[in-house]
Amino acid sequence: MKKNDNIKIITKDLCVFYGEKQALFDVSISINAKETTALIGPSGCGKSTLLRCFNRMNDTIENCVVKGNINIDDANVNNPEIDVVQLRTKIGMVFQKANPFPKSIFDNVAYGPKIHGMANNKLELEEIVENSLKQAGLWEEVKDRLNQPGNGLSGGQQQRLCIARAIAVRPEIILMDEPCSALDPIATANIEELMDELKKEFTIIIVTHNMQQAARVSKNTAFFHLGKLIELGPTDQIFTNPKLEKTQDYITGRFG
Amino acid sequence: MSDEHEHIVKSFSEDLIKLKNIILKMAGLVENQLQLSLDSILKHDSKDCIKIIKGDNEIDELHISIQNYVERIITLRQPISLDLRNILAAMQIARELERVGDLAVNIAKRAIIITQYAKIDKLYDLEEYTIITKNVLREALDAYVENDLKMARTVWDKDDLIDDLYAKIFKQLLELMNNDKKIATPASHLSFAIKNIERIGDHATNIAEDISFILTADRNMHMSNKD
Repeated sequence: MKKNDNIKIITKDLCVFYGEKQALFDVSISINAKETTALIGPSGCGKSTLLRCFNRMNDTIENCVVKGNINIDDANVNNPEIDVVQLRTKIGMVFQKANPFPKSIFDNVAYGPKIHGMANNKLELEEIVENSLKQAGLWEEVKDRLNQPGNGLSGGQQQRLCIARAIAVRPEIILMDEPCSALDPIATANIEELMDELKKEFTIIIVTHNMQQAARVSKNTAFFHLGKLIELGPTDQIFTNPKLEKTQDYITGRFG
Repeated sequence: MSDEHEHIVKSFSEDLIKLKNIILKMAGLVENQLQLSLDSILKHDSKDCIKIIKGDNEIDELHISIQNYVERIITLRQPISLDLRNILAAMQIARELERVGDLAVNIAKRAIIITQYAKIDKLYDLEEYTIITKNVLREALDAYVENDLKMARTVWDKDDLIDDLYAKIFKQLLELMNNDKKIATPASHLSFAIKNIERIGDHATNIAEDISFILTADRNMHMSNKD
């Protein structure tokens, strides 16, 4: 098979079990580098499970078993020898509910670079924090109160703080699990605008229940149902003329 | 396609049905207007012409209510894919029907003048021409109701036939005028009327393309459906 240089993540026959229950069935999917890919599907379809496979978050669930292959670049993510901490440095994650550390705005962003030894001195650290906050579109709003607690910010600002924290360690991939579902429309617009900027530098994978959001922010979309990848294609096509009736039924709100 | 599948939000499906019903109501009025105006020409009788001219208001009002309803559905439902195409096409089809309504009025206005002169005979293809045009519009609307791409394709194909008949009748009319200059006034008005009829064929063709857009996401019947 011809190797596509643009592929960042590729899975083959990926199956995930939570105890007896199988959550993903033979998922083979490829995700392009420096593009945004949306994962859509009804609750329980396996999209978040897939997202959590990429940074081995499923390791934290006791009875979870992952079978099949996941390769990021050329490294097998499921290889037991792999350094999970290092892997997670490469992959940032943003959750549905903003979860800043109970620390100052500055320390939230500085935490990652500090523990990974990415800054040699205070000045370098300050530079990383400033750049990350700028890239997350938050700098202008917080530059005069960096020592104040991160959880004192508004919901939308907290989410951007979490994005700043994620990108501070220079990851290659950002996983976003319904990042806007708790935000108002303005905060949502800010995050979407930010994603548009971030995709130039990072590979973004977003799980969203908002069809219009998926259509707006992503280049490719994957539709999941009952743990199976049903259809993967260019977002333009998935949301205008999907190949499969099941996809059509889901995106147009006919699923029942 | 999944058009027959219900939306989870039933009122959305009901919105789409209601939209289609308003269009079909409008279509019924337009077809009736067209029939009356074509009869005025064929039977050389202007008795219905004023009624046709006045009847256009109701069609225009329905057109406006369709536009308003479409705006409401888009705002409330944020439709995508098949639903969005259905709604966009509905608005387009309403526009085509509104134009056909206007053309029926134009034909009626011509008929008022034409019937003040002696009937121009020897236009042997005129009746067939009006019947085909009327039928093509009917078939386009049937295809819309039935979501029938094959029927839409038939409508699209028939436009050439209408164009050919138009050219033929126009030529006959010119010959008649050359032979008898006294018929110049009614013949000129009649030539405009037959051009109006030809345009109705174009609107039916546009409706056929709208149906193709709904069902295949492609308006281009040249490319997508030609065998």
